[in-house]
Amino acid sequence: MTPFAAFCGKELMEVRRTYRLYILMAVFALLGLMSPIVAKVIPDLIGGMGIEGVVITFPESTAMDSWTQFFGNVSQIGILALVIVYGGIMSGELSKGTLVNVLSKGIGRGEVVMSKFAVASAVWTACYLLSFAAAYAYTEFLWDSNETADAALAFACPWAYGLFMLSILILGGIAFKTTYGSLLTVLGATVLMGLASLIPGSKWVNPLTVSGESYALLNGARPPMEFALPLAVCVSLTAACLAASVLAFRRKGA
Amino acid sequence: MDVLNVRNLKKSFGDRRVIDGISLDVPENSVYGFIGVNGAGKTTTMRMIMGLLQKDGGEITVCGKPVAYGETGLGGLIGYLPDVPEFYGFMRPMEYMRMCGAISRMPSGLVGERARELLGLVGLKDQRKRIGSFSRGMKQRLGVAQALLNEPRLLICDEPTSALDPIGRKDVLGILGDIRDRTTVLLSTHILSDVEKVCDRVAVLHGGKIAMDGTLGELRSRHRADKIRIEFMSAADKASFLRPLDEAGSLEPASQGSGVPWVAAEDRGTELTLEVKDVEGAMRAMLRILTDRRIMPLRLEVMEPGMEGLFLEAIA
Repeated sequence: MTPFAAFCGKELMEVRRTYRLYILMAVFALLGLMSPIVAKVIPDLIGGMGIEGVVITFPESTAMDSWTQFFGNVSQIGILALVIVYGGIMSGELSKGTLVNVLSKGIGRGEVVMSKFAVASAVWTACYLLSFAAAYAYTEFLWDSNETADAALAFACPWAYGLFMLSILILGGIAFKTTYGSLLTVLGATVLMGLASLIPGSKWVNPLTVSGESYALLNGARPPMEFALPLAVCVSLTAACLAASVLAFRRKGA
Repeated sequence: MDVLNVRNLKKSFGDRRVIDGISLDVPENSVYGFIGVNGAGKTTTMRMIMGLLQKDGGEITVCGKPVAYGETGLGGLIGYLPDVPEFYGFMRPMEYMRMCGAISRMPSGLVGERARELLGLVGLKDQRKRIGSFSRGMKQRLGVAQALLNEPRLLICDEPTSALDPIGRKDVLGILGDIRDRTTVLLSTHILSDVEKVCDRVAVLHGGKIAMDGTLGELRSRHRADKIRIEFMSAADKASFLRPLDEAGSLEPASQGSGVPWVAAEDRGTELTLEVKDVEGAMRAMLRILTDRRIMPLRLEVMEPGMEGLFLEAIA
């Protein structure tokens, strides 16, 4: 077994034995199930409120409403849960000093960073797929008609944004060695991207674009290029954060 | 052959110079005691040897290889036991050992075998609990086991006994003493009795410099104060022993011509401490008097300077 594989094994054991994996899976399964249900019942709920003399008419909800809900839920509540659960991904080890033994056994600092990212990404991917499967099954059941235009790109967008958030958590953890530092780095990056989105035309390169709006690809409301470019920027920034993490970790020590 | 050589090592934190040009040579298969008061810079030095801390100047080589910052432990050549070893609380001891073995690229069969042997050595063989529920002493022992797993040429132990109860301390010291034929141990401590129990050689770190170093025997002979202490059963015995002493202060029994002069004496109740010029001659003369006068002493000893005395002398 290589040091990388051994450390991945430790990471995987950690998410299981600390119940983080199960917490995340439960949250994401719930988000997946909720999306079609909420889309289905909201028109009925509001329509049924029956304010005297006011007739509220809603168009019949569609599968598209369900997917709109799904993207909103996953990119907000889902990402928040992911960031909170993984807030201590680096800082937990650095503040406690658990890496000292492991590093003295000869694992490279790059291997530590990359195995942490690999396992966190695998967990995030599994949770995302679970959520998607739940939403897909229920949406099919309730409406049995699905838009399919550019589905792959549409669903890749929130996934890539999740990976980006994980890479920022790692970088923040190495830079500040505390969980608050990690979380504040993510908050700072999000605020920065939010401010940048005020600049006209910035949506073409702003990773924030890929976080929660890519459902518009499903019915062809927006062209794929509007997401492909920021997606490429998002992936590049993820790689840059990881590279910076490895370099910073080599320089700062443990 | 020396396992560790340190030449003119320097380190400052801000304006404060913590390590001011120290040099150390640690020979193979020895237990080297690195002594100093709290804050003397022991941990700083050890972290620099591990490559966990950047040095400001000087050279460190382990088995001839230079230590570079960031290249922690020279790829398994150095084992490290921090003063408070931290583990993953969700793992069991055997799982932790297996992970460490895989990280050191040991074949998994060998890892299992060595892990079982080492966990047996430190008394954690049948421990199925997760490390999170371990006591401090158990963690320290697991720390020793993991540090030895990949058979490092040099084992650095940072105050391994400072927070243990007497039994835990005895166990850990016993283990360190037992492993000297397998590896070389650099042991930092401020507990002097530990040094006397296990160390072959010591260096005293004070004010950022090595105040004194050498084998325990060398240090003792270099600093031996020639003192003999004798304790009598009663004041009458003491008076009887002192009777032939003349005013000049020489220990001269009536039946013998050759007296044994002493430089100074300390008289405390039934106990006498004599500072003499020739320990052997004085001892022989005293034994003769005791036999002649039929005095039965409670205690008669040549006083060895203790580690404490040596230490205090070094940092004075």
